Amino acid sequence: MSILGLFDIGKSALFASQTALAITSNNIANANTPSYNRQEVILNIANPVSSAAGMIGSGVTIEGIRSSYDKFIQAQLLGQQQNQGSSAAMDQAWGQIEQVFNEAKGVGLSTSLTDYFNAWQDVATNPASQTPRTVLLQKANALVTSAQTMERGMLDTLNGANTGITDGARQVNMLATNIADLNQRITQQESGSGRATALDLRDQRGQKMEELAALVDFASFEDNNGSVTITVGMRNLVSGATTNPMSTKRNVDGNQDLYLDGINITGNIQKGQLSGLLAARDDIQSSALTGLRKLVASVTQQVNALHRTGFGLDASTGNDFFASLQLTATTNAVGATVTAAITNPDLLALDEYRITVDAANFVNVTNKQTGALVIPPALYSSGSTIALPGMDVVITGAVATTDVFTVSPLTNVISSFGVALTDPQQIAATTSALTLPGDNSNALQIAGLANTAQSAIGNNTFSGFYGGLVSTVGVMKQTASDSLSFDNNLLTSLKARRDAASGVSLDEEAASLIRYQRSYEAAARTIKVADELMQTILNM
Amino acid sequence: MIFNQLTESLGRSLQDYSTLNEQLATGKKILAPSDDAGGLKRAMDYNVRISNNGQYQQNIQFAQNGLNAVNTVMDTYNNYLDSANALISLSLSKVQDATVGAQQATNLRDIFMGLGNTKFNDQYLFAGFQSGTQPYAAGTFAYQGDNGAVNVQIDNNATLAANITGDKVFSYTLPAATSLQISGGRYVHYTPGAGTTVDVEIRDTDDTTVLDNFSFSNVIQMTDTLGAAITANDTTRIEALADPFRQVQLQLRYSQTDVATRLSWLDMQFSNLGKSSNSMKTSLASIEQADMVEVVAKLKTTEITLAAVRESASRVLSMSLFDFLK
Repeated sequence: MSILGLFDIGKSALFASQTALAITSNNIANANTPSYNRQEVILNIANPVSSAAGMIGSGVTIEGIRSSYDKFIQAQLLGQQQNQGSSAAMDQAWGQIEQVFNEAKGVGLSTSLTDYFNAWQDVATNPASQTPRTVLLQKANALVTSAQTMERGMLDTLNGANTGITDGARQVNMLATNIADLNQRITQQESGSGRATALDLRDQRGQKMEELAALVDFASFEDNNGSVTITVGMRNLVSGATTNPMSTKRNVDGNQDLYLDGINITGNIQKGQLSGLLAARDDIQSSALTGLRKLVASVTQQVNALHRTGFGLDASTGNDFFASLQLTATTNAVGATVTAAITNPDLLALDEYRITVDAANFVNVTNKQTGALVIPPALYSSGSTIALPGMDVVITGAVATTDVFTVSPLTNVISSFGVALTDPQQIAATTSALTLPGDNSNALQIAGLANTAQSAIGNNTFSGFYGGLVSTVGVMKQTASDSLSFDNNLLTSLKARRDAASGVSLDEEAASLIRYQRSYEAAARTIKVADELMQTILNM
Repeated sequence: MIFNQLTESLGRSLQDYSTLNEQLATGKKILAPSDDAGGLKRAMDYNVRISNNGQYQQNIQFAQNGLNAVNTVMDTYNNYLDSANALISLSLSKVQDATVGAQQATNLRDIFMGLGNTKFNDQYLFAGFQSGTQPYAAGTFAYQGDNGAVNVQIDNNATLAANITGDKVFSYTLPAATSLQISGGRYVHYTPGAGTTVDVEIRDTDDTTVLDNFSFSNVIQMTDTLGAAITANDTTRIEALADPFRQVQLQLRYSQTDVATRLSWLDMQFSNLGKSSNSMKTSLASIEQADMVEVVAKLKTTEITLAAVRESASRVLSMSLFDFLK
């Protein structure tokens, strides 16, 4: 080997050390970068050259840069991120609802409900007196206020969930666009190389996929070109450099549903923040909100039924105590409309109905909560009356199988909840005009409603049913908290494992710095020695 | 990795510390439904029942006030009935002047009417449901009230009448026709009429010839009739009124016993409700209230844990190989 060969050897060592130093510096710089996988240079022995003394090595070559990416841990991490995203969303939503029902801090309906019926007791003990009547109206208004405050709190949470779903879909689209862009850049960079060389870009893409996993569950696979395809709800979200944007649309209940490729994928979203928001929203609506509305509707119905039969001090009768129940009829159709009217408020079932017409033109009326058929299907005829307990429903026009009609006595029950009476004299404490003013039997009956099992609320008393609601909210929140705690612990554990395998240890990088620095110095020294040797020969 | 672990530990410890502090400040161990859903529901049930018991006790006190007022009136009424009986005896024995006797009768009549028209809490005490109407009308002295019982709730499934009507105090109901012989061999027949009306017929010794008849439906009418009889020196009528006065006083005794029984029951129920509430409050406290000793102990432990994590964090995070490379 000539002296020039020494230069080549030194040069290769210099370049190798310089590259290693660059990679080590990059590791140090990205020590706190999420999803960054530690990189290391792959050095190899350069091909030896033949010499009189035999084969002599010609230095070192840089074979490539390796990332300490663990595919298996990363897949586990993505899965757990999805679980944690879902749990976090559920925990937050139920946490907000819990504060609405926080009877532990005196927030809620229990006190005002008890006070209201106790106020009827006071009227019963002194039916001719004005004072307890005035107090009763005040307690009734307090009950109305409490119920409306609670409903507002829940509706805020539900609106927040729907907004979260819309925002989540927007973020998903943003991340999908980022991933598609990274797919393109990775494909370009790695084209022809046959192996993963765009390590930083891959780490960036991994970070975006982790952020996506927190939002929604997806399946992903990488093709031979390094491009990742992502499917959500069995539809393509990202395919190479292209994306199918996720969108939202209001469903028949006014809630946001998720669409991808024009297909409703709401039911296929099982994990991630979006899944948590969807599940929490639907559970809160069907249990806590519907339960509270049913309670208020039952109180209204039962009190009004008795009050109408009684007589006020002014001999008035037939008056409702609370504003009467009203029906909400919602049409999701093009050529037909639905109307509904109460025929008997005392017999009105406190259920919500979904009405559809099937392909055979039969009208199907189902309970919105349970899905059970309410009445036998009958042939549709525009304008004909559908008789349901306490109400008549009429659909007019040309119906399609996609049409959905909803009739409910519960939708506006709390927003329109109010005390119908303003004059205490009209409080009907008496059962007959002949027994005024001292007869308190009607007041006693109304007061007695507090301890009477009501069939509309599962044969519970009003307080018992409300206590059950509070308990349900508590259990849901506890379950969500426990799940979140478990998922957080598991996620932390997986991240620790990932960091152990792929993270940057500053101590390790410090040692590498020193190592490669010394190598660089030694390589530089080699070149200096070769130079001096060359000078010696030239000066001969 | 170590940094993440340390921040997680710090976060958890701080959260525990915050919860324990809140328990210490409020004295409650259930701060939200999720802390103990079942316990909170039981606590809510207890609170409702304690509130109901308090309402029932209030109702009982209202009833007691009314019935005590009734009792006072009846005691006074009883004394005046004794006076009426004495007046009858005096009138029959002709010991005192008829004019004086008649005046006494008139006074007693007015006193009985006043007692019958007693008001309590601005409502007529003995009018039944017609509490805004004067029970005994001036002039006719007829009862204008009804027999309505004003029930008050004294327990979940128990009510009690908080009033007694005039027809049970100032009248009596003749169950069946009766007759007796008075002085001179004459007969007096008492026949029940509508409600508390008693028709009186005085017959001669042959028990056929009707000498006199009159009727009454309450003690005020009886006393008014007595006054007229004394003025007319009609000893037969006076004698015929003796038994009704005895009957009305017997009726009063029944009513006094009835009211006394109710007051006794109300006392007992009030006491029982109080005991029940106290018992429930004890159970409620065991559910709601935090064990302060336990909370303070846990707080101390958490403080030590926090200090340890902070100490560990400060040491671990400050260590680096870079510090040793010069």
